[in-house]
Amino acid sequence: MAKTNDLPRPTDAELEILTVLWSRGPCTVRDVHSTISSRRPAHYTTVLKLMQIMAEKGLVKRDEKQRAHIYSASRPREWTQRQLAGDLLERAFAGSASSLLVGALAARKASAAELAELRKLLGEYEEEKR
Amino acid sequence: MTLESWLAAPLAHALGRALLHFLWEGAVLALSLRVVLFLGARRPARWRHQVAATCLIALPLAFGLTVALLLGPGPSIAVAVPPQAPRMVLHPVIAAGTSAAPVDRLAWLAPLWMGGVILFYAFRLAGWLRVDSMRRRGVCAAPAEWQQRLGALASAVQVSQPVVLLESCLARVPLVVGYWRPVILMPLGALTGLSAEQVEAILIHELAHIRRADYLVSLAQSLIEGLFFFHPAVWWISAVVRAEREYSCDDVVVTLRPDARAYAAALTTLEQSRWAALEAVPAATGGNLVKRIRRLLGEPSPARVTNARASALAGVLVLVAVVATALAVWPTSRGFAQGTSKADSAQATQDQASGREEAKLSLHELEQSLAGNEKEIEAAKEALDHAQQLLQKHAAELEKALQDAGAGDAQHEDQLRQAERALKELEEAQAGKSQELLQQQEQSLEQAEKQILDAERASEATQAGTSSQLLQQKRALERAQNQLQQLMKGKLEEMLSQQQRQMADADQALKQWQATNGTKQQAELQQQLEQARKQLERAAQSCCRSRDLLAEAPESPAPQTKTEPESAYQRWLKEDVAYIITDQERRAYQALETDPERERFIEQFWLRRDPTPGTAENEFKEEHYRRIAYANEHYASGIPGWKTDRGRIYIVYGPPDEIEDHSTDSTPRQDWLYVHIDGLGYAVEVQFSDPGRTGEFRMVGAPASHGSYWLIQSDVKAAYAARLLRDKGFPALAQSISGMSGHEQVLVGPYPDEAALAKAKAAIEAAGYHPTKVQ
Repeated sequence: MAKTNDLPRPTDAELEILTVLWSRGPCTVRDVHSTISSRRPAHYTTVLKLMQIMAEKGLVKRDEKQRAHIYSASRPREWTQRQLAGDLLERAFAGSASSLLVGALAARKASAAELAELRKLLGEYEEEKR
Repeated sequence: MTLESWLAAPLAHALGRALLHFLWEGAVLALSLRVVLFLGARRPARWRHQVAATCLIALPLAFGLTVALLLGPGPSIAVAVPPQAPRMVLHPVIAAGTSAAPVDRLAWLAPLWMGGVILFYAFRLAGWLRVDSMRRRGVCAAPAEWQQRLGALASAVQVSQPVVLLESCLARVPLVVGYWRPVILMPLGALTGLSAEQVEAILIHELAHIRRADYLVSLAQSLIEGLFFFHPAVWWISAVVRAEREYSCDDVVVTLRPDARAYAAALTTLEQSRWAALEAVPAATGGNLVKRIRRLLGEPSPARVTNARASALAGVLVLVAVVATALAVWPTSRGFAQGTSKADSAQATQDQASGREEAKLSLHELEQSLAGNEKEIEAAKEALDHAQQLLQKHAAELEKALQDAGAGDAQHEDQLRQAERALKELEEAQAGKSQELLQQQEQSLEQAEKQILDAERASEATQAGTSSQLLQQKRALERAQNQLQQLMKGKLEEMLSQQQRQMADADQALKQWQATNGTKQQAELQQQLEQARKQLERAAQSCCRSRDLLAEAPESPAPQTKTEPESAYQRWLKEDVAYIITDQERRAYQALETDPERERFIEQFWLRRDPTPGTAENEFKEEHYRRIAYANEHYASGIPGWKTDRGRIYIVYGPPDEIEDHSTDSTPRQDWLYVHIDGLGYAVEVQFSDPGRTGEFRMVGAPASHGSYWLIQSDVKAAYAARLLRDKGFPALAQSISGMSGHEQVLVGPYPDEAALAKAKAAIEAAGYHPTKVQ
């Protein structure tokens, strides 16, 4: 069992399983498998084995109290996100990738002052309505 | 040499000049966009976006047109672009191929620019690959109900492509990736953290992006930015396109879901959630989101700020336009005189002209002096032609003399040298003259500069500051790019060497392990084999004895034994060990006559199975009875638990490594999974179902393994070895089954058929492992 403070970086396949666990909360291998296979074909046994490996590494926790073992991610997603984003290469390309992103919010994060202003605007609008 | 000749090519010259011209072209286009947007302030965002996008597309068109005009001769060039003259001057020199053809300094801009573009594109490509990988990496399908809602919304927004909704742990904001098979990525928690209406509003925004093909627009935008990375006006136009794009999508949302406040709140919430708990929020300002929210809530933006900013921008753009015009016209006309002038004069020209609008003001004076200059050059050119003719004549004479007689070489050579000297003198004189003229020009320029400086010191100071800031920024950018490249290179090398070290370590350890443990294991196996053989002999002996006894017995109480089916000894055979006794043992047991014999047989039966024969405990027997008790306790349903299918499997194979319980489904089902069963293989699955809902689950199909695996003995921790294998690109599954047999083993697979197995074997062996096949 790996020490909790130096968990290995999850591989892509492991990251997918972690994503399911973060999204759906603690669940069984069957649940994880059905979520994954709704997106792409995946063997149940493959998922099971991966999750057993992950339990061994300490990436997931296994609750063996019930007959169907319940798995949960051992770390919050922010922790893993930071772990992944900490890589230098990742950071270099993230900068270049950001201007290609298309979505509801800009690639650049808002500042503290801007967030405060946004909250103020919403508050004022609410008061006017009343 | 090749670079030199390339620089001398007309394309390099045309590119260099076109780049300079582009400085003012870009500025003029940006200015006109600013004016058009100002006039169309009340137009819908969609219209404004189209105008800005058109302006963006006009940039490469303008550049291409300039290059084409500079390359191909045409009557319009003389009017639009002055530098036609230098080409005329340069060409004969290049064509003549005499001494080193002087290379125009402007031509150097072309390779520098190309290098910049390539670097920029390389980074963008890496960025794009990363964005595209987000559609696969760290994602999971969104709950089906959201996928359905998205379908309904897509038809409302009139999106025709099928859109997939995924939750992503890498995306921190909602994103659209791809155009032909678009994917909407929602950050984890967004679907549950926002109200259903808010999620719908966000989805409409993303669908609007898909409908408008913004992903493609963004890629195209990136290409144009990369082409003109050096021009701030291009970046500004691009930013306008981005901002208007978001406004347009906001408009679509508000049209379909009029609750602008809820939408604004959703955007704010999402923005806030981007900051992971421990990250600090920087204090920089100037983002677009505040403007968007103001716009959504119908609040006027603070006009003062906008006006100040707009006028500042307009000022910068005017400055850039003027400077660029000066730059474009000045060095090209200078290139004219430069045809044969020395290198530092070109350097001086560039230094002089860099970022000074006064150049334009002194243009008038310059043109006058240039007119004189032109005449001088013309004269010099004539002299040069004359010298060339002389040289040719001399060369011809020399050749003739050589042909006539072998003697007199020295004389001819002298003549030739004289001719060359004359030519050189001529060139120097010409160069000197141009230098003189240049100095004159510079002086006049300096004078003009001083006048302007005196007159407009205040405003000029700020403008010069801005332009020098731009230069500084560009330099800083270049430095940063250099550093980044070095860092990346270093990091990659480090990773590579680390991996190599790890592989070497693993190999060494493997060899050691094989040397020590391999032989030990073999000895153990042989011992076990010996034991087994002895046991078998014993069993055969007792078997023979029982047969003899049976034969000897006359009319003994045989029927009596047969009418005792309920005896403890019969029950032992039919219940206790029914599933684990072998056929041979069963026959031998049934042949036994007396209870003491049966007693001895039972004792032997267990002893043969004892994993630790020397000790008092028989772990096998204990475990077996525990399994029976467990089966009776958990699987009884009208019939005793041990008699059910689940009970039988449990008793024979023990507790499964995994149970997936679906006993509450419409057709109750249970799937059991064993990592390994001796004789059956790895990853054995057993399925039970209870269609009649009687509580008794029946086995559906026999326990079966899924495909074949390659098994690799590992001397390092199996999970680590598996990881190394995965890093080497072996199929997703490589797993430790440590604890099964006490050894570290890695499974690679599953492979569905023989062909895949064989292919994998070759790859595994190539990686330095010795796989054995397991089913």
